[in-house]
Amino acid sequence: MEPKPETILRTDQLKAFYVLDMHGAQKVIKAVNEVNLEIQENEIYGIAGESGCGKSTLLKALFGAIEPPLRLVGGKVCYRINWEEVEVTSLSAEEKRRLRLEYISYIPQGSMSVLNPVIKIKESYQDFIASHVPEPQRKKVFEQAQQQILELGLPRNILNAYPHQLSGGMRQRVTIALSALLKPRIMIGDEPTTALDVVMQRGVIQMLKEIQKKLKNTIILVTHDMGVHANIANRIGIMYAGRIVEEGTTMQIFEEPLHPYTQFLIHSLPKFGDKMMRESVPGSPPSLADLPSGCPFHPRCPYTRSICRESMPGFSYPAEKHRVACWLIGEGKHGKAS
Amino acid sequence: MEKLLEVKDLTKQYALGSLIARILITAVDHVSFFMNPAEIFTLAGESGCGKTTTAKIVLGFEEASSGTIVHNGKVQTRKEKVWATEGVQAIFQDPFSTFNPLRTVDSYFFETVQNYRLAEGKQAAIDLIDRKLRLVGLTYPEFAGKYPNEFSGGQLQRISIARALITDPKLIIADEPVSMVDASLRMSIVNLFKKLRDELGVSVLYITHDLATAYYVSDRIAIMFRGNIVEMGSVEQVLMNPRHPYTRLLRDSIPEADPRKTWTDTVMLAELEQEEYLRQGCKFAGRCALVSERCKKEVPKDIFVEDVLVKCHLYEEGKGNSPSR
Repeated sequence: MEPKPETILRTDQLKAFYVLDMHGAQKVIKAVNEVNLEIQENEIYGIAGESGCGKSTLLKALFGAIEPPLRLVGGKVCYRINWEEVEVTSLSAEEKRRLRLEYISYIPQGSMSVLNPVIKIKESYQDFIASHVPEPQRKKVFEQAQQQILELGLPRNILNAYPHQLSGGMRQRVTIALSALLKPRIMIGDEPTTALDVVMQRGVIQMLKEIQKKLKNTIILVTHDMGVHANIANRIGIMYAGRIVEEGTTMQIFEEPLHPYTQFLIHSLPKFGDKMMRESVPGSPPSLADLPSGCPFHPRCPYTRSICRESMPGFSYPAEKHRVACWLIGEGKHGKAS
Repeated sequence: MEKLLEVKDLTKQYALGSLIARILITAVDHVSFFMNPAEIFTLAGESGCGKTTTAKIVLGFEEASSGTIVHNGKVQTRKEKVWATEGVQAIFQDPFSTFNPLRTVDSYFFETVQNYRLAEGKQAAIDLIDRKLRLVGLTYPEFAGKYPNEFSGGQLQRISIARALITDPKLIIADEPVSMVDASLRMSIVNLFKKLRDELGVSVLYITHDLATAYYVSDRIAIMFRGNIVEMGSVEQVLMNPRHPYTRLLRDSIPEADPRKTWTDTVMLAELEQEEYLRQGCKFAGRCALVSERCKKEVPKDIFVEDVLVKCHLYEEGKGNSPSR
């Protein structure tokens, strides 16, 4: 299949498993299972799900950082670089290294351990620049970095500070600024706001939006906080037990969630001015090493039928850009959680 | 009604820096509040606002610089700390570091039962533990002999609540109990606090930065900023009709799960924490949209507007009650 012209990152039946060898017995953790994604240029794509659903592993696979015990079992990840589709697994380590920061960059969770604690932020910047920019341009890029720091509203003297002198939110913003420095086409964020309090979280989201608007690139953002997704994402994929179970535009996901799991995720959030009793998603997420048969959500689903226990539903497309994997929808019956 | 806990003029100062260039940071600055029996009281604010320090002092983990804590009519002294009585228990933020990974979880329960001599013999202890576990939706057989890594974060947090319940406390101090738990499982913890309050008459001091769950669960709330309580009152009044500019900022910064209500304006972020702590006058003056010259010089007094305590110059007498935004 030829990719659509504006697709920048595509996965095809991606399967990435952790294979552990425990005293001769093999343990397989199916962290990413048959994931098909088509992420467009100039959009913010959100991935939501509970902890342990494979979100971070999916990001590792998208970033091309598959290292044992994680193994690419099947499928492929393709980037579109200069109008040409490139399969990530076909690249050498050196080629991948060169793509990082320049083409694709990664914003890790909890920026505490990203910046080297014994050198100043300035030196971290210089290190990054030195490893990606040829000598004659380095000075110019560093000047751009100083300019960018001011534009993003960070204090000017931050370059002369050590990481421990900054608060967690400030450090996270420096990390984001650094990952955007070489104007990458794709930025991947793994829970970038999780450890922050609400005001700082808002600042970080604001900054990500600003960068996206300026660079017109793609941001893939993973977080379990549906409130953050509502504020930043253009499209959202809901992940459950290693699979994408529903995908749609932000409006579609919040206004007409179709999968029972998505409905639970959205209805369990408390709202202001409404003290009605709210329930969590019943039960707990399944272990990825020992998945239930059929649809992985069936042990927690209130609408389970016999077919749900037997086989995994395929995708149905109730509207444009909206797809959902649930037996209820496949037959045209739309379940609504109360 | 007799108050369960009363905190009066609590102050805690920390010294920062070396011996020569030393600065004093007032992490908790003359904080006073009280708690009624069977009530959920929230202390909310950003990280570094002094809410955890307040909890630590109440629990006796830290020594206050000045101020008194009265629990059940008894003043807390150096020798008789609140936590040493059976009536107060604590729940912490990270359930994975609450329990030693090399010890089975049930050993903590038996230890508590033994320390307080709550049961005679093993069977009586198991019965007691099973009763407490059922309150949080678990049973003894499904947890006996297991290690912390065999539970999910939400389960482990509920187990740590069950552990706190063993001594039949009247007050539970919960420091950010849901911030490490998935959003989808948060409600199971928060609903539990409601149940404890309604069925067992337990009071909860709920410390959080998540105003949405605070609104959902609590009766009264205090908003802290850089060591001061800037607004305190019933949760309906404080969160639905915020008066202090800082409460408004917090209230507006919660990402609502509604794509139609996204933020349009930009937000002013904190300068260095230290600078705000050392600021003269109102500590919020550097970020406040309604700042006046007076805010930068004078510390505002505590003013009551319709039963809500507000620490802001905007509400002082003769200025009217509803300044425009």
